[in-house]
Amino acid sequence: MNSLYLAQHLLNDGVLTADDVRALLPKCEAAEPCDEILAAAHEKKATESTKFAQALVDEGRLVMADALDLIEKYSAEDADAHPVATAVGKLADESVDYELPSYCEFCEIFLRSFIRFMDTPAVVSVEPPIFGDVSETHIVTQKLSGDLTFVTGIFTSDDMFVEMAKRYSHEDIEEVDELAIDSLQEFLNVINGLFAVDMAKQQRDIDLDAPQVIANSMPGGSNTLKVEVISGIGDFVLMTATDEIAFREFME
Amino acid sequence: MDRKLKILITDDSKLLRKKLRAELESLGCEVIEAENGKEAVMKDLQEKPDGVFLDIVMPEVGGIEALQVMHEVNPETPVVMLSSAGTPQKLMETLKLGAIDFIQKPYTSVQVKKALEAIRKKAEQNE
Repeated sequence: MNSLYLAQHLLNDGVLTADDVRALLPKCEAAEPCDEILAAAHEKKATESTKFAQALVDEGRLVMADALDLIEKYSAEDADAHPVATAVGKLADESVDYELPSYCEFCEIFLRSFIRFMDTPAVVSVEPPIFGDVSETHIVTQKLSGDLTFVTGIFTSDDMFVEMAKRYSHEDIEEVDELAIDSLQEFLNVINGLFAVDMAKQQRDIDLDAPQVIANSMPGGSNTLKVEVISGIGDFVLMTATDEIAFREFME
Repeated sequence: MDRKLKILITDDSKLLRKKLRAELESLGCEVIEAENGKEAVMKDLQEKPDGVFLDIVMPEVGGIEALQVMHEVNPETPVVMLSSAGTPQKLMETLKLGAIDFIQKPYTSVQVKKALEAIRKKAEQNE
């Protein structure tokens, strides 16, 4: 079984809802997978997937036998090897058909890196994000150009912005200040760099522009894919678009 | 070499500069900083560092342009590229322009130590 994505499998297959996952992911941090779960997953130490399985049992959502069955099911050779891409595919409409393979690849790299750098579990929701009031929000974007051209962005509440910046930088950050902005810009820059390296293996050369940040604005853009990321520390929206992500200034 | 190595860090990220400064100072280096390629070229001329850590993606003057100018003006200064854009193309391009190493972000302490050793060797040759 993929060590990161048991929760994503269960969300994709409708076994759990987004709200279920949202409630369970914060419990994973403290979950200590028992020997039976580790053995079923063929793991020697705790992984995101085994911690999630343990959290399902600890929270009374499953009995141990059912948790072990699920691990076996998603460890099978015919289990979906790209559950993040599957979730992204469910959200995409025909406007992003052409870009979808690249968008899926980017989202897979993003989620894997998010889990690693933020040290928290995460999934891509299979439901589209709902944009409400955009006050007290920020968008960090970065343009990629060359053999593939698109813009990537993170749209988040200021509270979540601070939490992500704090976790990425390991600095004492309390508000969306220069260091917080710098941290999330660097986080996105590093992920896009990893994506560029991945694309280079497919003989596609990509350059990165310097990241940008804008406060209190509604994201737009052409051929845009917006996916909600649910994590152990909160939710945010990951965006990809083929041109500049347009912004409508927030009006009081 | 008994004296402290003087290292110039060039990155538009304040976070990166702060973290790398702490890393290099813990290894006994004197550290100076630049926020972009233009400032890096100026500090390379004025401060004559023993080595430079240089980002590629920066506003105004980027790392590749800065590397070109630095190499023309002072080809002896060892430059280590430290960038998120660590593609084979960028690696080849910067090595051809005279960089001695390329570290893909996020860096590890081991990579920084190794690059610093290369800078130290080059500085000793230059003395």
